[in-house]
Amino acid sequence: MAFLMEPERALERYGNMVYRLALARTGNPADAEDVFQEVFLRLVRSEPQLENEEHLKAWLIHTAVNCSRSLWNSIVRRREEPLRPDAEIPGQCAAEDSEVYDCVMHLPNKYRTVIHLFYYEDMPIESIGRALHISYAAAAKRLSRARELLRRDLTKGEEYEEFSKRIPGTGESPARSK
Amino acid sequence: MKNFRNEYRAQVNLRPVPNDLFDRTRKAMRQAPRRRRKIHWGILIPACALIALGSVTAVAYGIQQFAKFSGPVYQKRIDSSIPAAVENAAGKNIQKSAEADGLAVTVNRTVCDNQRVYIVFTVKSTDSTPLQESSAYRRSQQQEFAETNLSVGEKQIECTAFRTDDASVPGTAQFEAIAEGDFSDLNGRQATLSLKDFTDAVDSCSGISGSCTGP
Repeated sequence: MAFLMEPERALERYGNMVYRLALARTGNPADAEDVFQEVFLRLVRSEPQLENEEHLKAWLIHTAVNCSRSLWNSIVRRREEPLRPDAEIPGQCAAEDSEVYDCVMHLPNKYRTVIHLFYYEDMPIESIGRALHISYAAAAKRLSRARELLRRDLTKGEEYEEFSKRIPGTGESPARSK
Repeated sequence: MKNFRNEYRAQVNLRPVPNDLFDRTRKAMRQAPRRRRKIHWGILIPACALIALGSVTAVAYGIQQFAKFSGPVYQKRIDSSIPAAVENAAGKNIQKSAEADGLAVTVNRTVCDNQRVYIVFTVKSTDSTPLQESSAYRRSQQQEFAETNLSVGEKQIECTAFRTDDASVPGTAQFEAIAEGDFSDLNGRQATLSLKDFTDAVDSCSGISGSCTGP
């Protein structure tokens, strides 16, 4: 039987997740808002056939990734210069020491997405793979490479305990030192 | 050791979701039209065509398998040119017969209106030979007399004779002859109907051959 959840209830429950992911993907709040609205409008318009709540969550993540990609493509087509994280609207970023966030924002989009889903949303690698429509091995590989890049870019990257742990499924040793 | 997860979370949480974003989105969601299910005509039309074709084929096969077409298919009965009421009530009942060459011709009834004479007559086989040459399925019969004449005194009038029955009785044929002319002085006089060369033709085609030479 198909899973049914009112779109407005889904907005309440997963709105934060979608906005954070959109912000992580686009890097600026205005674009993140556009992506956010587009994702939930698509949920209303397309009425996807969902199996369970996990499926809904995966659908929202995948749609958010697609929408931010479409937004990026439209920006490229219009030859506009998107705002970078360090050019955010004053007052939006109150962080004094935002090295970790900046480093994540400077990662390529695909690595940024898995880092965000893994460390902020606490999603297991298997669920990340399902939401992004990639295999477990590919998701694990992306996470491993993203961690390697962060370890290299962060001033004290070697001091983070997560980066010394091995990711199951990649067949690699813990992130190598530079 | 530092904890990347906690630091990243803390920094992400410092960027709050805009206050009115949820309200604006909720409003937009309420106004958004629900998409109608797209009809895939490209699939639907060929599927319907296939179903229709399959049904027609199945029905035709069933008819061919179970329907029996026994016996010849006779031509459709031609309605008499004389209305039934007139044919049955009007005119003169003659019932005179003549025999020749294995055929008996009986004049059943005649009707005359001074300008036309209608003669209804029956042709029967006297030697039990069917009037039809072929017993195969026939869709048309061309049974006629080569000459049909009506003689009144010295006057000879050519008649048009045509078969009116449906040829369902092999040894019998019903004809109707029409003669046009001045019959005002026919009363009390003897009229003779002459019939010549009864023929039964079947349209058929066999043994076609041909040759072609190049230029």
